[in-house]
Amino acid sequence: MFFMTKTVFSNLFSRYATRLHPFVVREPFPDARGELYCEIEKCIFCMTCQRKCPSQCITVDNKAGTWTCDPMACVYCGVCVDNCPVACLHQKQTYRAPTPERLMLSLTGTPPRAARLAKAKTPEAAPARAGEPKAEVPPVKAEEPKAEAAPEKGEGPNEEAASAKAEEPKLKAAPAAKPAAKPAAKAQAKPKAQAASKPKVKAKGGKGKA
Amino acid sequence: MQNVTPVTIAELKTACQAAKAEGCRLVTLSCAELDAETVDIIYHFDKDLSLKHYRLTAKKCEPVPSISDIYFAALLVENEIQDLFGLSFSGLVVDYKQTLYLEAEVRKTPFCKYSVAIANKA
Amino acid sequence: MARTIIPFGPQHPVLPEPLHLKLVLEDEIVQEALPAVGYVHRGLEKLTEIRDFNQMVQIVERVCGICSMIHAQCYCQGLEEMLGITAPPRARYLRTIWSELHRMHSHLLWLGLFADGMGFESQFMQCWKIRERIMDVNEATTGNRVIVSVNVVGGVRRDLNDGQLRWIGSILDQVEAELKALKKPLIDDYTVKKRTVGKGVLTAEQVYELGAAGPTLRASGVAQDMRMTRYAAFDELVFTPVVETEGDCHARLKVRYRELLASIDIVRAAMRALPEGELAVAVKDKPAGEIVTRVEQPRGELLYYLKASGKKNLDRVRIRTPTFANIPPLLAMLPGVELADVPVVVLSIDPCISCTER
Ligand code: SF4
Ligand code: SF4
Ligand code: SF4
Repeated sequence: MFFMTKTVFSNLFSRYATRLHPFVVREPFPDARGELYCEIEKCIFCMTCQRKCPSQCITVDNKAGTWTCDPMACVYCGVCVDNCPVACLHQKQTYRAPTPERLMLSLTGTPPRAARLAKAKTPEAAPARAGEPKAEVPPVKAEEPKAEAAPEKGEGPNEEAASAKAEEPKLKAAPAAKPAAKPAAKAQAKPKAQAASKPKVKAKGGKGKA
Repeated sequence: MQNVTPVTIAELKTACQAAKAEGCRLVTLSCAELDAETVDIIYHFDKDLSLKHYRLTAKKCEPVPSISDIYFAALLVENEIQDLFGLSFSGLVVDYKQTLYLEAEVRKTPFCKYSVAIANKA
Repeated sequence: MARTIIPFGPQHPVLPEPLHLKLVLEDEIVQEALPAVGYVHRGLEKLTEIRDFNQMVQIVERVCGICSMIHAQCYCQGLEEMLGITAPPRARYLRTIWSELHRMHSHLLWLGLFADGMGFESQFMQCWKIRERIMDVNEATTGNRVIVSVNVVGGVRRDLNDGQLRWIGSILDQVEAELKALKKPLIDDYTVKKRTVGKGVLTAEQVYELGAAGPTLRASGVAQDMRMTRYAAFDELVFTPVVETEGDCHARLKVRYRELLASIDIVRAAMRALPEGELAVAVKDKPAGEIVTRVEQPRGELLYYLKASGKKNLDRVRIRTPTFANIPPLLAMLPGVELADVPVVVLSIDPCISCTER
């Protein structure tokens, strides 16, 4: 192993090959595929992303207007981003930070059908819908507490409660969603139980009285 | 897929011996379920980068003669087919008795939509 | 002498993945070895029943973390043949570039692990340091570091622009210089030779009969490489397989080292000849029929058998990975080897167990 000595010494006296990670972070590459986020106000609830996602981690309910993604099942492949017809899905350049708790990213928007209905009922609500969410709900950021934190193996009631809680402030924050989220609409986001290990997550929206 | 020759259970061993004499390398076996009773086993051989295949349509309940005494390389894949499809191969050089991937207590084979009870598991 | 049975693995310091070998020893010499696998069987082939044929691209990528691109390439190639479409020339060249980059990072990973298996830690670090440059290229050009998700049925999803091509070129120059500096300490070193020369020898007839694939086959003097079947851009690029004749661990080391340099040349040639044009063709039909398709993975020949009947799910996806083919030769290599050399011999086939079991 004598031939290696030269390399060893040149490595010893040159810069570190690694970074002191938490303090020095490399600039992400511009095209890197990172965390997924959705501009819900642009979404037309066509369900393309749900159909195309290879890990089946997106659930779209076009009646209730909920878009739910399990960021922990997402494999960062970007297939949904490529296929979204209105380009409202994007990926950041960096990964989601690790977390000890299970996350669910659930967003509520206005499905076009509900919007049309609302327009028919209250003609002045419709133009407001287009403008308002952008003003009041700034472009969706995944770090925001919208992604509710339920206990790790929270299955069933626990998680339901948590997601309902997390959704309430959301509904209040977006008054534009008022005509859309019909009070009775039960947004059931049930990811297909494709893997036995995957806990069923029910996100019941519309509980908060709109 | 070109170069596919159908073989019967009786011809299988002689066909494989002939392939070996010709200087073919056994690439692998592929198994696909056809219906409730039968499966297709395709033997892939390679010679000078061109493939030829033997297709054996076997009944699930009948043992298939193992070619692992002709091609030792068939050993692993035949054991794999036993595990995943519940077939049985007779005359395997090393028989894992369906425990290559599966646990000993498993009674269903994952790749058969029409599940076959595993009878001969030790 | 007394016969002892020693369990080797599934958890063993030199094994990156769980492989269990039951070694029958007489004194220090292995007489017989029996493998046990099944620790990482994930049933990915079965997923074709619930995922459509487009989604399967991302599934097959996950068969192997090290050569994900090549799995997807093989799968897409097979489906394209079944559907009667051909990927546009630019897509075929881009696939070649990315797959050779994958081969390089896989071989560098292996060189590091092999050095680590011999206890040559500084070499291990050096190899992985070089590999990091290629991982960065992967991330910058495809978006992901390991599972690059760049293939679709019909073509590729990403393009390379001129700036990126120049940048890859400069990275390759660096990698080449660093690799050339590795030759002496890695190949010609006294200790390395002591550990590898004459260990686990197989003759050309033996490996061929045992159905070996890839560097294991070529290190024994059989010039067989699936790239000679001229898939992707290899129909236009010059390609000669790397062959060594000794058939021992040192020959397998040399084959992989030389393939690294050869891959650099292939990527350069492909970048020079990169044609302009479309990235992907649209897929309109549902696949139907049966197809067998093969490509060369870093560890050897990869075979996909696909069967479809015009539905959106395929009927059968059968994946034969090279390590699966290399286990019988490994069992033939081990008898006669000293116990202390078993890790080196096992690593010399570049075992990738999660691909083996899928
Ligand atoms: S995110 Fe895009 S693809 Fe998904 S439902 Fe909304 S508009 Fe359709
Ligand atoms: S990036 Fe891939 S895995 Fe993640 S949600 Fe989109 S399609 Fe699904
Ligand atoms: S197989 Fe292992 S390394 Fe690969 S993605 Fe899964 S957990 Fe990660």
